[in-house]
Amino acid sequence: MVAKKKSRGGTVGEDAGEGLSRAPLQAILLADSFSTLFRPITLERPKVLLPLVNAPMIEYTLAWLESAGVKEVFVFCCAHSKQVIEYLENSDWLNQPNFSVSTIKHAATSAGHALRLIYDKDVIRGDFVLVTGNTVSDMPLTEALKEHKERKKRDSNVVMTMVIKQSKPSPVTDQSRLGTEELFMAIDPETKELLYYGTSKADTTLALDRTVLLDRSSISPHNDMQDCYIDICSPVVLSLFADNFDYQHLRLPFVQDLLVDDLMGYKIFTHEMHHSSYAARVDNYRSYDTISKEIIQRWTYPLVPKLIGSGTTIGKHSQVSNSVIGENCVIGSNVSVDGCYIWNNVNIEDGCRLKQAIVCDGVTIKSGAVLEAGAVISFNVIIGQNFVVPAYSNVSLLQQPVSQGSYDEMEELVSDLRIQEAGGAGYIWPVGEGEWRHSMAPISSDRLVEIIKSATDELDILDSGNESDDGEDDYAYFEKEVEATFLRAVHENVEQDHIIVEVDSLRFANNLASTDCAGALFYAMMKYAVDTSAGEALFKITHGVIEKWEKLFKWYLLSLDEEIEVILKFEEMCLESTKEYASLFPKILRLLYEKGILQEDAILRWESEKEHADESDKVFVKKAEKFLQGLEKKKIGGR
Amino acid sequence: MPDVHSLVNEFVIKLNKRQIEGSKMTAKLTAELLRSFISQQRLPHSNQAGALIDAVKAVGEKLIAAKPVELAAGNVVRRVLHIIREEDISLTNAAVGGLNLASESDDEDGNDEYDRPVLSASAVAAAARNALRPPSLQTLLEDIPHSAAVPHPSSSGGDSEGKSKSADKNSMTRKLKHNVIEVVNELIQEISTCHEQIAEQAVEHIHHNEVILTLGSSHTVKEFLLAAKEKKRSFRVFVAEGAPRYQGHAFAKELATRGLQTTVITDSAVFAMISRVNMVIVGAHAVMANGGVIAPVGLNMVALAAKRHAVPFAVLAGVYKLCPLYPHNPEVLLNELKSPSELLDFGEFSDCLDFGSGSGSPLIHVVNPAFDYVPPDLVSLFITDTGGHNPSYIYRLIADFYSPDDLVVRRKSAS
Repeated sequence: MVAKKKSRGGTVGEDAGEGLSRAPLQAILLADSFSTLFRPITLERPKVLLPLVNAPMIEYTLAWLESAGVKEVFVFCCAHSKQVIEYLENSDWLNQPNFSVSTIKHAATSAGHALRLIYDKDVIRGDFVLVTGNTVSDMPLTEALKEHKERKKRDSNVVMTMVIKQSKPSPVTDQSRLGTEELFMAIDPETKELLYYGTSKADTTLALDRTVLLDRSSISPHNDMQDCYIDICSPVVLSLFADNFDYQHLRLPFVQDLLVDDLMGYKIFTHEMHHSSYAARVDNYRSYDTISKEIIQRWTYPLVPKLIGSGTTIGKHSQVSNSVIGENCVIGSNVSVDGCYIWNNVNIEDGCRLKQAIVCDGVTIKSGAVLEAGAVISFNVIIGQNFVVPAYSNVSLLQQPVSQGSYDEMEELVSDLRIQEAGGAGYIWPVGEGEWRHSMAPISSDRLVEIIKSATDELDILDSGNESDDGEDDYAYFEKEVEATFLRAVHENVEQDHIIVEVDSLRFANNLASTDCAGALFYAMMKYAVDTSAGEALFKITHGVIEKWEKLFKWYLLSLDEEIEVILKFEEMCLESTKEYASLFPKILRLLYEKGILQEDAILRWESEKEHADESDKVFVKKAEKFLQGLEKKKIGGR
Repeated sequence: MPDVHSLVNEFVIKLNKRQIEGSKMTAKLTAELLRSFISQQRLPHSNQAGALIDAVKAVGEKLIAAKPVELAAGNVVRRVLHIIREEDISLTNAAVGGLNLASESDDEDGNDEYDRPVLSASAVAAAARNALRPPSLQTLLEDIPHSAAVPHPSSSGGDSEGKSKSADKNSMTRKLKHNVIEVVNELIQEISTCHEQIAEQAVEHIHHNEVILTLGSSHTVKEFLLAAKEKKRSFRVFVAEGAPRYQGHAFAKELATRGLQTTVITDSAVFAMISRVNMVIVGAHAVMANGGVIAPVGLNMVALAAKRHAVPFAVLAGVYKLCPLYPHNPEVLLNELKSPSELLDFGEFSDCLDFGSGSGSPLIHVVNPAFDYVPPDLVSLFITDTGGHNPSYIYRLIADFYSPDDLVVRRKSAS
């Protein structure tokens, strides 16, 4: 009775701490990454069971979840679900006190699908932790969890707290450390709300809705953050996935959609991990390598497995460096192994050379064979005597599955190379384009230079592209504005000085040159003249207009350049917008000359510029031929 | 009642995950675990002691394998094995004695006139051993009476009277277990109170206006210093901070709040300050059979500094920290490398972990050992709950508490 009363009182004035302790923390562990980056190995064994420094990856994730205070874990198995379940049944995880692990088995096709299925099962009762089975961490969750709960209390639209970690902002480091894309985020520095999330691949611009600035004082964009793929989610996340079948992955487009969608107002927050904590995700061979080395350096303490498994023998004069070797391997003499991950029951005969390779269970490498950097040798392959496995190649007993979507002739041409000579068995898969990105081999310095270059190039292209686009838009806008200003001057009798000030300010605002002003003003004047003339006596009216605004116009004709611009503009107008002037071209040109608006040098220069142009461009030169000849004569005569 | 095997497993997992830290906690929990294990153990009618020893060894092997560096677990397992052997011997002795005296039964326990309701385990063990073996140096020194009778309250005494032989055997079974548990209880008591007994000796070692140097944090050292303070000794304490965990900071604060004059120095300043120090008093992780000490990292440097300036170097250690192995034994894992995160933040550090562009091996390495080994010639004195001892005496002390058969805890070698 007393206990009951207490709990009822608790629900009324429940504080965050009590809430934390009352509901056992649940976690969803996706034992499948829904990617193919670990092929061909993952054709035969699920990724979560791949040994990472002699312990299956899922072991690290489960151990971390347990130490972080999670009480109940649902392991969602898809690919090779039987193997995962079998593994868990044989391990201690299923009968731990205070830590229950249950498996959900389904052939889901994507992470989104998996979450939909979990939603249908209706097993999640409160906030939960969402991770994949390849997460290695020692991060305590309590703080992030507390923050999440507190936020949720204040705002029921908080659906997720994403754990992020700071890293060096450099495309090279990202690439060489974990083989991942650069990540861009925008975060409210005060509330830690996530406002933008995108990778460099997906977007070239970081676009933020202006409304996000309405109620916050600042936004900080980041390219120095790394996504740990550790999420603390409200149960509503599952229903969101259940409602939208387009959400395949945990991040894109799901996160972007939530951020953009202000109808529902769902919010995602971030939690920056403490610097001393460790978190990483094995995504590809490169991160496999990096994280293995970090485990060797004991960042995951107290979970520190052995570097060389029991029952392994290494022969005389063999050199092993920066490597991990599993159980019951036999390594012959004069073998050199550098930076390799050799799993269990591998037989390497005398005189082999291995460099930055992954060698799976049961592989035999016959004497004198060479594995070049980045090679991956899948289960039970036999590499023949003195065979050289080229860099970045994947060797498997299975042939590369042809994906249904992209089946075309090209793929048939590049078929798998079968290795049979010298007692070998297996297929060498064709090396893909970007294989070097994800493989274990160090990136050559050329490549690094390339990456840096491409990163900066991209920016350059963006910059120049933007400018040209904007420039045109700006000019059109400017022209309109100048015209409007001029018309106001005509109709409202504004003083010329004021117009100069206005046009100048427009010029500065749009970052244009003085030649543009002259052109635009001329355009405005002529347009006005045409509009008022209504077809008849156009020349007269133009004459009047020019006479009236001569002083203003001359203000902008600082040098020959402006005058040439005016002629070119006039030419353009005659061709396009105001064809009425086409016949009057030489007449008005003469008028401008006589008024002293255009000097003879400008006109002659215009003519010489046009000399090499197409015939069609010379229409007006020809029309003004007489006038031009007169000018030339006069010039010569003048001398 | 929870299944004892799941208890063992849980304990092993906790050890594995470093959820049980520190030799004292390990020792106490190990003893408690073994107590419940023994009490639930079903014993055959013949060769009970052998069966019990085997069972305990099996558990002990697991515990030691779970965290070899935590030597206290192994120590306690060996102590318990020793206790079983001793109790067995004393029981057979009593039986033999009973035959000799014809009708006398176990009830003679009641005749025990010594006014000691709870004997220390060492006394019990020593008394029991006397029946078959020559007396140890300690027994001679402590002058424990040479009576074969082992004083413990007997509950089965009444039942066994006038019963048949089988019933007598049954009582014997229960009696062995009962006695063992009784002594294990004393062991647990000893582990949890040893620091008090050590602290009692404080006045003999700390004098007026002395300067004491210590490193890091130790519960035993704290009690020791406070005991001296309570006896109105006025002295000053230098606390070296104890990188990388800097437990010395909290330790100094604790001492200061209890009214002790405390000065915090960096570990690197120890050599500079040692000439002002009258005595170094530190705790230990384990004491090896040769008198060498496994101690928190940094202590070897302190010991060398003390030696250089002829400052006495005293190590406080409960008897449960005595390890019957020598540092050169292959079973001994002397050190543990801890996470580099205690030294460097991963956030900053990850920038240097750029494997992909280099030769494949990282340019930065962090070595963070937990312990130092202080050789016996640098130690002036061990202060244990049985008194102060010279490093060269440790092997004798060990002979009092451990049986030589148990040095290697492995089930097969026992049978």
